[in-house]
Amino acid sequence: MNKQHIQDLLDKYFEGETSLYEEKELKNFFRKTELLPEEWKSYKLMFGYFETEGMKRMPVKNENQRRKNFFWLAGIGISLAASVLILLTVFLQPTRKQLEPFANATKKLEQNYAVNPQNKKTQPTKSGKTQPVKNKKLKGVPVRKLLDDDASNVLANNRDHHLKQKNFDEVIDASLSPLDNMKVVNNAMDKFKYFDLMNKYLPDQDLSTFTKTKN
Amino acid sequence: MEIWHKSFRDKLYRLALRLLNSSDEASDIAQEVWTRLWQKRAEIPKLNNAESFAFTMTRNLCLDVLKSSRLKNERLDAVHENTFVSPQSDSIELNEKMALIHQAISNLPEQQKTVMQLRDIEGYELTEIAQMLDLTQNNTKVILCRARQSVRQMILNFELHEQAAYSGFTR
Repeated sequence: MNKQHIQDLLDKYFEGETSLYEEKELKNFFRKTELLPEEWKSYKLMFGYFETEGMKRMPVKNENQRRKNFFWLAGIGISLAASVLILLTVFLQPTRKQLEPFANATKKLEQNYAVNPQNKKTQPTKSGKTQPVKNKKLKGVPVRKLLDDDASNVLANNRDHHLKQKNFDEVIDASLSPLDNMKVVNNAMDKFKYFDLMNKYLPDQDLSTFTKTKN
Repeated sequence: MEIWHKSFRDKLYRLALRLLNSSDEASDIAQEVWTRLWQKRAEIPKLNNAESFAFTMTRNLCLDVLKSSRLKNERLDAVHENTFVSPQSDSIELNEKMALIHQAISNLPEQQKTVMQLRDIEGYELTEIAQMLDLTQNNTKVILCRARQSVRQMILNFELHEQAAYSGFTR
């Protein structure tokens, strides 16, 4: 590459006439050659600047910073939510006074629906092997009678059960007694149904004519 | 597609950096354009040139930022955050000259700066740059010519000044 060629390229370059290929040629020349005339030394720097600027890359640090910030914020948010939850559970716990009626009701139900321990003892067991002593005592008694006795036991139990059921229903009825008033209201509301029907099928004007003609 | 490569995002970053002189803002804008492109990737095959579209978008965003900061009078005496550091040279004089070239380019008007960045650093054809800036090819060439000449003039002026100072020092 002779000096004149480079000078021509430089002149063309500053007129904006060089092609990309020629500009590459210039860049290559100035990168490779160290010994240059004084007037070209700053061009070497200029083309070098272009080349190094073209290798700058977007910093990745920025994204990492953002991610870190995000995690930090997320951590704060989670801990805040947790503390609020804990506070809520502590302060919104029902007091004993508030729970008293429920406790009483459950006690009553338990008392009324409790199983009689005597019945449990007399309840028949199907497997004979588990109670060999009983079988020895009842050796002489016919099987049929045994079964009958069992049946009567079962019946007795059922009767008891029925009684308990009744008792239970009463308890429930008692607890629902405030709703009896609602029944009255409902009955009253039922009567209004007919007003609706009358309004639907017999509008005011027609109603008068209807009654007159009927008379 | 070539524009999905990270090196293309770096090109956008470099243009934004040239115009804004702030690494943080430039990477924000490059990332923004990148994600917008990704959201519109279905429409991109219809575009004639997605690359120049991306550069146009980057430039417009940068101009918006410049406008808003000019309103706040922040950038009137912009201090350059990114002073150029040459990787090879360890002599202070060389670094100073590089910084001078950097300064010369950043003193150019915005259009000249953009054209010079796209041509001399990124190596785009004049037709492509004209498309990006919505100019005619002739106009782009004139702008590029002016940019190169004024950079040369600034370097020559500095050298003359330096020579005078040097000779004065030796006397």
